[in-house]
Amino acid sequence: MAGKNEINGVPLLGSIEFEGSIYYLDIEENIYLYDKENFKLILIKDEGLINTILDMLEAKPLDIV
Amino acid sequence: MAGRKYKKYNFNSDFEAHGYPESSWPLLNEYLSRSAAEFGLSDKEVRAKLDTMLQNLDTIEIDDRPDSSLNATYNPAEKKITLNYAGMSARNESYVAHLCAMFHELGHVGEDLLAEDPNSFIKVGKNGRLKGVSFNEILTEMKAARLTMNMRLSADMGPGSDPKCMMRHVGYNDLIFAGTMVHTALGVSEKEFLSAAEKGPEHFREVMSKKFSDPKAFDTFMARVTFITDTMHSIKYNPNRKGQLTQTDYRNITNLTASLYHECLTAMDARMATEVQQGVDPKTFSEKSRYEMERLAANYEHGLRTNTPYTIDQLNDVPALAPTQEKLAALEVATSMRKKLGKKTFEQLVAELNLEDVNCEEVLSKYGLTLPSIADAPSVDTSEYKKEFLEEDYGTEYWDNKDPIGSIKEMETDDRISHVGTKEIPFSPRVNATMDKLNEVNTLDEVASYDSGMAAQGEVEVEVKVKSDDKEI
Repeated sequence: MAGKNEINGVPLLGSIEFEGSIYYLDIEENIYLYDKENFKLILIKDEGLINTILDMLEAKPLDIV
Repeated sequence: MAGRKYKKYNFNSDFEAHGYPESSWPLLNEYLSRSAAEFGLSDKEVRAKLDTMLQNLDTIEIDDRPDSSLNATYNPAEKKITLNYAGMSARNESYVAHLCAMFHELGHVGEDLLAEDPNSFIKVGKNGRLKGVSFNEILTEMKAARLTMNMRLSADMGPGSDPKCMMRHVGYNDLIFAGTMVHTALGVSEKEFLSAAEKGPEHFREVMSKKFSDPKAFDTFMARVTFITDTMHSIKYNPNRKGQLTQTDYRNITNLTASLYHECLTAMDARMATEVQQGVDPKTFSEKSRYEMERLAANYEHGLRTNTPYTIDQLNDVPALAPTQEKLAALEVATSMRKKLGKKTFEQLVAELNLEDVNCEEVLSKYGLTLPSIADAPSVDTSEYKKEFLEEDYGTEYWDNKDPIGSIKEMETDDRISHVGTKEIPFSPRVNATMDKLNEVNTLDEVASYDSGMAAQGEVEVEVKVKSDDKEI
């Protein structure tokens, strides 16, 4: 991810590796998978996967409970 | 050495009227007094901070569990701070750490409305998820450390032994480096950075966004920074984790840290361009910039060493320093060649270099120059600047924590302070699970286990510096 601020013109927040794949997030928190063969981002629509990844990105407050 | 001189506020009558136990008054007064001195708050701003405290803090409680890894908590729903004197004592935490824990939680008092402020970097994301929580923790801890640490001592020990690196912190010691990198990228001292944050989201955004010609650049920078710190926080303090950190976790942490470095370099680049456009003194600019780059790199490396078992040399995908350093090298060459070039002023040269989007090599080639490697770039002696920085940012004075300013121990003996004793603290199951897991994460055993596994695969050499405590306060 380092150095990649956008792919195909989509401004990205960042990326995270999960179960062997790298997922990208844009500013709107849409989640994409990068299709290396076709050089394009694929928008993820699976709600379960979206929630799993968003869960991974959320800092859990420990001392504000 | 004498302690620091600062205006002492006394709000005992307010505390009494609100029913705060008398043993807590000295610490509460001290917190407000030090905040005013350190962050430059006016009397009116201190009064507003006091009012927030009175509105959002009803109870102070002592947790008597020596085996708890929590130092302290703040519960906004119950308006309650819980301090674990027994736990901190069992871990031989210093008196300064006790103060820091208390001041950290006081920093959280009244923050629950941050997400509703449109200027705040804490935002509500999809499905009600909060974004920016981790960076807020970082700021809160940095502020608490500034209000409690002996600055000079802090600079001589632990992570702060190198003045380019962060000073010592009690909590979130594995994430604080991000705060240092961000204020370095923004070109402000830690003190300026935290002072702006202390005065609220609107003030913070107003001051920091002026660092860029396009204010939206600051918002984008903060969105990416909070994404990175939230994600690192989530990996390292994951209540659902089963077992130790995995190789994927370490790869993610490494990539996130590298991304933070890249974002900071990009922001630094844009900020420097703005400064140059606004007019700068070439010598000061050059020295300050080089020092800031050193500081950024030092804290980046510190973050990697703290959070991953890799050595810096093993990180092949560490982003190159090139963009900013090349520009600075070009600037330095251009400056040093000014006489040779003739009549152009430094500003004209900078304008010609077009820092917004420059191919330095191309520009310099117009003058018959070649871009030097960083090693060949004219060296700048920053030792004087570093000395000035230390005195200005960390201060030659320090808090005299031996003053009778109260303590958690004193509060513990106050009958009016309630004790949770051995009864279960009503944390949510999620938080309790986190507490259980915190003892398992990042222990030396875990890292040794991870390293032996990696070494067996011949993937990494082992150089480990990982702390086993300092999880949170």
